[in-house]
Amino acid sequence: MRAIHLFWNSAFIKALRSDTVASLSAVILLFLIFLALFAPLLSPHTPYDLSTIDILDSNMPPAWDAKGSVHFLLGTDNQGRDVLSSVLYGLRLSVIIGLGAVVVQVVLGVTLGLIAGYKEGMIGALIMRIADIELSFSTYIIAIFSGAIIQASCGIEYYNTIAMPLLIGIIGISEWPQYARTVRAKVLSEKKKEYVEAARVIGLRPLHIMWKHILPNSLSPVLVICTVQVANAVMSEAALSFLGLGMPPTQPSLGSLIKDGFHYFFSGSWWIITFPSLALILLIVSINSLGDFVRDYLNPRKI
Amino acid sequence: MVAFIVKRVIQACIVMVIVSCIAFAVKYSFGDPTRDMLGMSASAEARAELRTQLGLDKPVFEQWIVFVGNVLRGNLGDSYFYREPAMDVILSRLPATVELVCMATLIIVCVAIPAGVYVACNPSSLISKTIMLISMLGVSIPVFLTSMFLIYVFSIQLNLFPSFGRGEPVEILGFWTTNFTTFSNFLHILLPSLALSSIMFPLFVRITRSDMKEALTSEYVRYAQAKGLSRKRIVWRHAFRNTLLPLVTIGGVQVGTMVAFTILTESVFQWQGLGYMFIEAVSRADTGLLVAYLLFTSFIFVTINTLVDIIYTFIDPTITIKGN
Repeated sequence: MRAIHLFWNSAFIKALRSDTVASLSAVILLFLIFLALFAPLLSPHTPYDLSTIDILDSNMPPAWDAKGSVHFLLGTDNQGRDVLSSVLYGLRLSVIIGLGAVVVQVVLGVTLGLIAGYKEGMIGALIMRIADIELSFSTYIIAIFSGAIIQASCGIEYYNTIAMPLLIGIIGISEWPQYARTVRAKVLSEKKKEYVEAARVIGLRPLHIMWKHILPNSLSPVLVICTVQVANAVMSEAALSFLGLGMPPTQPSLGSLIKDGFHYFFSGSWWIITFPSLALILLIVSINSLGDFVRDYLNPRKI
Repeated sequence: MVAFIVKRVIQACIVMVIVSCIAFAVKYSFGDPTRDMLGMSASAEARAELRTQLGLDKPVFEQWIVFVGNVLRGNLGDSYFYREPAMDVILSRLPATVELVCMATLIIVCVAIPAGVYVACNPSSLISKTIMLISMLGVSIPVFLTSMFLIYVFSIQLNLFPSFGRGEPVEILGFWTTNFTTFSNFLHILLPSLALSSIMFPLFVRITRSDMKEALTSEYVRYAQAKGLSRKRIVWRHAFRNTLLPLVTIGGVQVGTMVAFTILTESVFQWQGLGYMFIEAVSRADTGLLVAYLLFTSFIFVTINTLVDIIYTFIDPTITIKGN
């Protein structure tokens, strides 16, 4: 109870509460994450379970429409899958892939940035050159190319079975240079400070200094990039899935639901595409505006 | 200066060598070309003979040299689906994408940059707040959703623009197909280019706004105000001119980035350009064309980035060159 009280009255939460847009997006984001976490409990049907799907239920409009049914609140798609359930499960997948990709990015980017900053010279220069080259290509291009190459070389069936970890890896690999650059710049400036020199003088090992002394002091810009990157990763995943290089139709993420709905949109079944799109936009907008807030909060000098 | 240019060009060459290695690896590891050419029932001897003929029995490194030699001569291999040189397929689709990107750039220059200047000059007006809200939403809405929204509003509800395709592009100069000569073709290009420009719109508004803000608080603007020059003259002649440099350089790089987004935009609008071709090649597992596209776009990317870097040092002499 005390912990909650402390958390509620902490400076960060107070600043968040005083900002209407940020607090609204925090509430929306928490709600979406809640939906994603408990999707299996909340959704009325299981979209992966083929035995519960009846083709006779296909293309039903949402419940408030005259032709709709209360069993399917947001209607059904062309296979008879409940749209509400597939959106909840899709949201879950998109959030998992987004967070997973950011974890990969942070681990790769922070490690490489730390090495590049601490060991200037050949290794550092090589790492930063690779980062430069990757940054000069658009991250989308790298993700799309890797997806296409992997799909062409191992076939669609196999690609579909490994789609989720693969997407996490692809999006993770295509976005690490940003972190590496930031961390390296921060490490270079921290390295010259006295506490590092003191640590060196008392004979600590370089690895220990890097990990225990420099890294904790270099992490705050990483936090700022992270929040915005989650939104970017979710967007990249949606884009890849929309192009058919992402999650398969049997296990749809929000992007693949939009891709499927696209075919039926122009024949009047608007609900198949509208609800996943709304979920995707809400998710990205709330993360982005929260990201703006975190950036302003951690860096009040910059307007 | 010369050292910097040489260094940038060498770096660009290294990147292209790496790209060619990746492209070669994809080509080399994927399937057996002799089986494609002779069919499943060919005898082992016939296959071996063809392998020698094609040079496939040579060491990997030698094959890579041959591959790079071909690429340098403009031979990117064949498309398995179209059964013609991949370079021809790419060149036939290139005008569509180039025109799309040019049109989108034109929209950005005509709309986003003035909008950014306006927001910087009148930060608290209602129009400025609307512009900033639109640009915030623009960052957050994936381009394929923007595209579908545009199709829904402008071609289905209002029936103003065609919803897909290029119409009937007119061939000019013998090799270029264009959408700009007739009115109905021009209508075809508007929606896709609007969708494509929506990605860059927020970025350009933000850059123009922040640079203009900085310029408007500078000494020379205050001096111009003290001289009693008109507001219009100060904004456009003095402040805006100094924001052009970052816009040109960032713009140059972003035109390259737009290539990535043409894949998404073109696939929604079925615009017969390079991006659509790429997606078709992926779904048909046409590795020949895929590899050619990979090489071609990488080449364009690397060239644009190198040129922008070099031009940057030419326009802005205050930049310190780290090329020694």
